[in-house]
Amino acid sequence: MKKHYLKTMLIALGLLAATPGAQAASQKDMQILGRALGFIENGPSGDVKIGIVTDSGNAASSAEADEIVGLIGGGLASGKINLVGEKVSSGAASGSNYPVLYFTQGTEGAQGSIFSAVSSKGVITVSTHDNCLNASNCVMVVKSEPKVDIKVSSAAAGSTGVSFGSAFRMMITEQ
Amino acid sequence: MKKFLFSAAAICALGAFAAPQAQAQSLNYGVMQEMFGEPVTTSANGSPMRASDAPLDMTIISAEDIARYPARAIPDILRHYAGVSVRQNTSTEYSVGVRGYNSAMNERLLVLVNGRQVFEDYFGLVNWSAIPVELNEIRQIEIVRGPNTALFGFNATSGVVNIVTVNPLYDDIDLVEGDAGINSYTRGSGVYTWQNEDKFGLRISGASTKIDEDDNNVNSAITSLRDEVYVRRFNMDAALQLNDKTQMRFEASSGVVDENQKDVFDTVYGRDTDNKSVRANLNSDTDWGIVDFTMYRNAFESEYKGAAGTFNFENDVTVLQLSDTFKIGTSHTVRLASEFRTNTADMTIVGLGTASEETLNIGSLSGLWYWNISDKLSSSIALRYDHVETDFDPGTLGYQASPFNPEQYQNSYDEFGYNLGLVYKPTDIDTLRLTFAKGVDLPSTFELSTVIPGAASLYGDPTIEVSSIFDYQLGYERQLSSINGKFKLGAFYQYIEEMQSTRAISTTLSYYDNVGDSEVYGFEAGLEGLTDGGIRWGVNYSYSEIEDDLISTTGTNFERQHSDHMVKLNLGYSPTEEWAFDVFAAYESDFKQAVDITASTSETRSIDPDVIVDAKIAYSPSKFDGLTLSLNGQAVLGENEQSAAGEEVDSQIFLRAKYEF
Repeated sequence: MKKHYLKTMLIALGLLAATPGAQAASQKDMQILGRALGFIENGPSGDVKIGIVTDSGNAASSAEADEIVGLIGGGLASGKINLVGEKVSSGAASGSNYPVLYFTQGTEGAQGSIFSAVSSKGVITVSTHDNCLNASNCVMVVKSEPKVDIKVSSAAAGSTGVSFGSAFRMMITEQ
Repeated sequence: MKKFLFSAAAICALGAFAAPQAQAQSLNYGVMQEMFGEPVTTSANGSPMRASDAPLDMTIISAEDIARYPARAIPDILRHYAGVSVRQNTSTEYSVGVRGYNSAMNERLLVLVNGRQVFEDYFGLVNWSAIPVELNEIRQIEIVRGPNTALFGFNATSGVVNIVTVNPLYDDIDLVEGDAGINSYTRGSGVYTWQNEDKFGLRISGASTKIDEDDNNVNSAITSLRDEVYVRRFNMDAALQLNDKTQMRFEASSGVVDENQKDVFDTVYGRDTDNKSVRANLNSDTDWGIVDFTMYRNAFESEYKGAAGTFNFENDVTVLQLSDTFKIGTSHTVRLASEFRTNTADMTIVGLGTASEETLNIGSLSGLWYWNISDKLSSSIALRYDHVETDFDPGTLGYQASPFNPEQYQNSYDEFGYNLGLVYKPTDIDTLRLTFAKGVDLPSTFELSTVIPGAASLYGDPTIEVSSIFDYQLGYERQLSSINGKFKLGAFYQYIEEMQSTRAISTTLSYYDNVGDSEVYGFEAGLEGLTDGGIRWGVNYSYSEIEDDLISTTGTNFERQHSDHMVKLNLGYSPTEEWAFDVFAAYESDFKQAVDITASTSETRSIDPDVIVDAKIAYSPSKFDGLTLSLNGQAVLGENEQSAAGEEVDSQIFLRAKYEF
């Protein structure tokens, strides 16, 4: 009997101690991104092309870009937005016409110059990686795991001329 | 009086402030919930937030959860949540308490529909059957544990149940539903929504219910009790999007209930109720934040027929609320609010030709400061000030035999309440909550001014003190991906000063008074999950202990009528999209309860521990899109002995057919 209780307690403790592991960009991330973009005042709607900024010389960047294009290359409906992903090289991103640019990991070195070039045109820079937001090169970063987390850089949003509704702002993290 | 009215109106007009009941209900709950992967609320502190960020102990019951229950009324659902005690007195009448102090006509629970209070002010009671909302149109039910009067207003002394309906602008619900069961139970209801693009939405709903109460044997000695019970409800909800940032909402409702009800003396009455309400709300996202203006009027009419005679109550409540919620910088949210309320209650004792009228005018100012200190830590401070003035017109009754003089019936109160909360998230899956609150329990008009002369006379006490509730809570929550669920633990201690209840002066005279202090402490623990095979399950345990320090001449004894232990279990399985099976069990330990023996006498009985098991089997045939047939059982293991007013309430078995189109 004692053994049985001990086993039960160990299982319970194991359940409490279990923590989910970190995951790469997923379809859920992209759906949350689409939803969040919908809260931009006078923001994009309908089919929205999103440039996946890639450093072809960086394996992690390329892998992430391929993964995202695999997820939304054919379009992903999320709320009032249908996200359509296309790869764009970090060198060409500054001159591109995408309304939204997604920074993959490994593009940190180019993010500052790209943001400087596109923010004045109202291009919304996004990612799932915090360092982009911490450097104020991304307007918004989203994550779906282990729980949904949406962060907005008020500095980057200001430079881009992007604003969000009050209710949305109260429910996300601004920095 | 005029000066007071002018001052209160000026406060609202100047507008900086409003009582936090005026929530930003135009929030698109469905979209937000889908995006954040969890329920969202505006009730926690008046500003929109995710449930996991709420600086108080809150459980949100979603529409999907509600659909699992074999429920006819909202308390049938609440019964199965931690810390909630539900005692069913008759087939349609319930007493609901949160963390102790459950009693007949419980006046310690605040119930709101879209921010509109639906408890009947003259006594603070909730007529659950008269709430003009169908289960199928509820977006979510929020249970808040503990006193939250600085956030919600008075009566929120033990907890709050906030019912949020779907917004007709965002949610298109069209259905008809019919029930038929034992005890000649029949019910028909419907919900229809009409939408015009994104600009206008209108939803109407209604229900008519009949139940044969005779088999429940509520008390055959009282001939005025009803053998048949009727419930008829209607609700209309319209939303107009004036521009991208401004929405107007208008609601009108009616709830007519002819039923049997247990009163504060544990006597069962026949009661006919006719409740009506109108509510208008304007919500705009401006450069100065979210400005919300709400105006509503509740009109309650009830006739009580019992051994002591027939009493008629008329109660009109008009409320104006104005608030502004705005963000300062990136981490501070501030809410400034004001409320004005005028409450008039008339009581007539049929046969004596007597009547009295009590008026309560309340002006409130409140403020909230929510500070997102870091990714892991946030704080919330809510303060509220209430100024109350009472006035009494004795009508034809006069002050005959009242122990109070006329001057004492004109009174005023100034009260402060507060809610302080800290939320700490050491990891992405752990949340710790620490809260401290002072709640305020204002006396009801009945407690202030009732004048019932006769052989067993009862008087309100116009000098009765406001009751204060001090509450300390510590909560912990952990998301458990390994079981697709979560673990939740909460401990609390509550101290109540100057409780209000009846006090016997002699065998023929009683009046309301402050009867002493009381404290309650305890904890709740719960675990819930979803297996890979699709089995949903949950279990929670609640322990609480009440210690009264009351005068001996009061008829109140919370210690005696309290269940120390509650255990709730639920299990559900949907093997295919067509079938769903759900079972719910609720256990309450023993307690003592006053029970009518004859029309004029009662005795205190021990009520044994009892388990109430509810079950539902639902079938949604794929060949008939929109149709769901279900077999529903309440208290299927036997009569609901514990919850009754000493007389068992029958098990209920019914078939339900729902067609969504």
